[in-house]
Amino acid sequence: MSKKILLLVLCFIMILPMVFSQGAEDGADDAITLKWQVWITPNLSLEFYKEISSAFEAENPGVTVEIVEASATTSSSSADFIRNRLASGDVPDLWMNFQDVPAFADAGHLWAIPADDPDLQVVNNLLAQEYNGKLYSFASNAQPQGLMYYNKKLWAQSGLTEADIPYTWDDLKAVSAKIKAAGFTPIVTGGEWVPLILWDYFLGSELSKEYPNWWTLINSGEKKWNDPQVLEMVQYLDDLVKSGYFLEGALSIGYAQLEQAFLNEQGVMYPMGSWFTAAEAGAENDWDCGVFSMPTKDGKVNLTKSGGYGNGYVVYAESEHPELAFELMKKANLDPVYGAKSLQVDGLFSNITPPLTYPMSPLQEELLALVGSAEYSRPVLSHPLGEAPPMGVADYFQSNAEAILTQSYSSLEDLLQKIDDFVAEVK
Amino acid sequence: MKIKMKKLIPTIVRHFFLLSVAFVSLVPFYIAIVNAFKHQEDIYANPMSIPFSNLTLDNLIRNFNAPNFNVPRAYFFTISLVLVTLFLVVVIASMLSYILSRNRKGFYRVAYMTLLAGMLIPIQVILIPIIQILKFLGLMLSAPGLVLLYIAWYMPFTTFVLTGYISTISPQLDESARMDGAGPITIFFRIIFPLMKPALSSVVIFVMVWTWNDFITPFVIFGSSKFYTVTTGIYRAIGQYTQKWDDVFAILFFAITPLAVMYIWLQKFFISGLTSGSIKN
Amino acid sequence: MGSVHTLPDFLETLKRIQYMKLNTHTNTKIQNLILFSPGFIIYVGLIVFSIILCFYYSFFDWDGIRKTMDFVGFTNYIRAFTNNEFRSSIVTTFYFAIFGTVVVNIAGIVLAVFLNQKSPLTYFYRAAFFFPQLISLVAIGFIFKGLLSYIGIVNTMLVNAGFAKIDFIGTPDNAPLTVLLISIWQTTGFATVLYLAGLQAIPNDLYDAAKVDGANAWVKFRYITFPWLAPSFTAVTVFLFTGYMKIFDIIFVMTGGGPAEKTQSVAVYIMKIGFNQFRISYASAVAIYMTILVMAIALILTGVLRKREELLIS
Repeated sequence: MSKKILLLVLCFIMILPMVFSQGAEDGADDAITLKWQVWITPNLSLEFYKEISSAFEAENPGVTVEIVEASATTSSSSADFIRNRLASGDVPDLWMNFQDVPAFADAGHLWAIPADDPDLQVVNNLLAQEYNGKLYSFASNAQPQGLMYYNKKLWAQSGLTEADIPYTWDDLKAVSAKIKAAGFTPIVTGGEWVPLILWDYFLGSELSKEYPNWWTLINSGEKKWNDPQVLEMVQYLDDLVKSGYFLEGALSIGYAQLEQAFLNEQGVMYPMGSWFTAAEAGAENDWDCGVFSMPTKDGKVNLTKSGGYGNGYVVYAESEHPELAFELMKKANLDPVYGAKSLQVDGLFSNITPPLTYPMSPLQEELLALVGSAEYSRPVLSHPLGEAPPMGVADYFQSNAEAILTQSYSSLEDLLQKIDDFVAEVK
Repeated sequence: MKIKMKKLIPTIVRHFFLLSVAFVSLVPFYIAIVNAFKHQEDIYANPMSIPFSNLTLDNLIRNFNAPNFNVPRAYFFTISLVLVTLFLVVVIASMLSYILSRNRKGFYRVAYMTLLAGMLIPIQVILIPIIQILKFLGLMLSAPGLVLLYIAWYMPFTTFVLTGYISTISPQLDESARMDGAGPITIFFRIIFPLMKPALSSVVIFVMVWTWNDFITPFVIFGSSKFYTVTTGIYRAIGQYTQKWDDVFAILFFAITPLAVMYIWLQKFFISGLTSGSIKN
Repeated sequence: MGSVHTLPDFLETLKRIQYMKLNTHTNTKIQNLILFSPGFIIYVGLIVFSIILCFYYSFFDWDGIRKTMDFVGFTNYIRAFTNNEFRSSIVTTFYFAIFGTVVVNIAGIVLAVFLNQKSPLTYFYRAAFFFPQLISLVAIGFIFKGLLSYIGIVNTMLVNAGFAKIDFIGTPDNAPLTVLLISIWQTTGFATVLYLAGLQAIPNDLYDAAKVDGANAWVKFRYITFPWLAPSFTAVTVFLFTGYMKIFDIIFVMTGGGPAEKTQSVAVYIMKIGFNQFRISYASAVAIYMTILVMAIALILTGVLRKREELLIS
């Protein structure tokens, strides 16, 4: 009997710290606590966010910023994380890296930010990010995506020069053939979520150029994915795979390895978004990296970028301190010091006038010039083109790209049909 | 004891076969543990070797307190979770099993059937609604909420095992106690419970191993909070790495070793507990 | 007891005796309920109620975010029925379940028979075989990812030995087989230990009698061992098959359901539609389908195998 009592006591001692650790999270009652959901990536670290929150706290005495960490290892997306929080009743005031504005705005979970706020007037095309007449975020940065980085040293060793930078599909095939003949791997890519961007970039550069409101057309039924024009674009990607231009065994390496592989010169060209420039700036590679925009069918440059309804920051509708959260949003993005730092750590470009600047690497300068000179600049396929795509469509882009990379599909039309079926299902 | 030649060859074959299987069972762990102590280059050079001159504790030290996976904290949390769950499951399920074992008619029989059906339910069907239920109880994103879910989840299996076992304890014991004026509660705690050790050890092993290794439940329930168990913790930590094998194996070392040590120490207990309860089907 | 000297006292005492008897009966009932309730209420409140809620959600159209939902009747069920991805996930799940159960059963029985000798090494072997069961599938998934990745340990060794690399995980042809083999590796110990226990329950006189009749090992196995293992066989098979039908952890960690959805089991599919696509109601319908499927198979298997048990043990 005494053993049982001992065990009972032992277990209550165990329960106590767990129960009490809940209370500790509530924080002091008299100060205002602002909860900020951040998104941690290799580029965006917790320390970085803490810098911003400390500065904000210093400027706003009585306010404590509690950082809530989200990352790709805790949830598949920021929206998924928030949904979990909504269900639990403990919702952060300020969210970031948030992509799914339409669904959440419709559900009444987002706080409309004041479009006439004087600080916001520096943002270029501020009102273009409105959804249903309301503004939920602002596009203070530009994130070019459909980019192809290339190893200038290996490029030269393959017998290519600056003049050989490809603009059309055929150009790309030609340079890839030359690189392969020289004994190098033309294009490196990887598994995890990376195949998604193969679809987004290789098809997107042509598709979003031709149809800037592609999703509106799809949602209304006017256009279908299983369409001869789109089929041509898929065939282009398929041809590249069939010719053996991609890294062998790509699907079994993850994003971190992939980046490392390119930096270790295991391939000549690397399709990836602008965030890579931040990693490249910090890496110790003894070769120069260049960049060009994803080729299109006719060679006209369409520099695809992240689209959406702002910079990924939104405020929770039922927050107790929405205005304060809004101030924090502005601090992280428009502040001369921290706004600039936000751009620098993730390889973003400023979209305000006058633009925030930061010390740029040669690659970043090259990219900036590219941004300035591009004829078109459209959102990537998994982001809103006109209307927003259905949530989760990126999964199908990814599995289609995987099927093409492993040449394990029954027909290309079949792959396109899958997307159409999914769109029809979720309507 | 004479060893006949006829018997020697089959014996050798038998041992050879069993040794190979044992080898296959253990080699992946050998690799994980050995490489946790090697530098990245050594891992690539020869994954199977133990370069005694070039072993390092760096990997372990570096990953002991990674931002995504604080080993002591994860262990403390998971051990508390397992102990509390075990204690509550054992007490609550045995009480329930006693009643169900001794009362096989009417309402209690229906209740028993309802419980048994629960053994076949896949967790997916529960994960989405349970979030709403826990929210209603105010227990979402909290450890007590997870414990409560585990108790509910383990109830079918443990009741099944324990009810079966209690039915092998003679009701005469109950009767004589009742003659002396004891009520069900007294009979249970004083007489039946102390006799349930073999079945309880089965249950303890299953619940302990399952709770320790469970991934999807803490992943969904705690996904957006600071809490992580050892299992979800290694997922968080390694999710980013998968190339830096020295880090990966160091993290896995922390995940595997405590359970391995406990197993080697208590091996008999584990296996006898496993088999004693499950034969009574 | 009270006094019986006066009539009122006597009646009072009588009442008290009757009340006590009633009291004991009620008392027993109350005590029974006290022992019964915590477990049952927790179970019903959390599990049964969840299933009812899941069932409820499946008739609506909810994304988990909106505060309202529209009633859509059986739409989600019909949708699932005609959805190719769902069908493929069922095929994939059965692939794992059938091959997994068959191979693990065979391996388990063979190993148990080999192990069933009184030798000190038996403890070692048994411990070794069972060890993989104790480690979480997440850890195992990562270990094997490290071993079998295209640039992982095994391929490094292959290259060092002069062979070509094998893409174990990254191709749709190899990935399912790789995952299946790893899960077989992990589960065999469980079956072995259970069969070993079953073997040790077989009375030795049967074997002695067989030896006297001059039976060889194979005959002994076929006519004594195997039939007597029938109860263990039933338990292990049902446990394995239903467990495989719910397979999730290892796939999630190693392949995420890919490449090209070739390793996507029903459980992985549900997570995808529920948590990536935010289609809570549709996911609920699929989950209900999955539950019905698992229950049906469990009942059928148990029924068939129990009959077999009866036939064999007679």
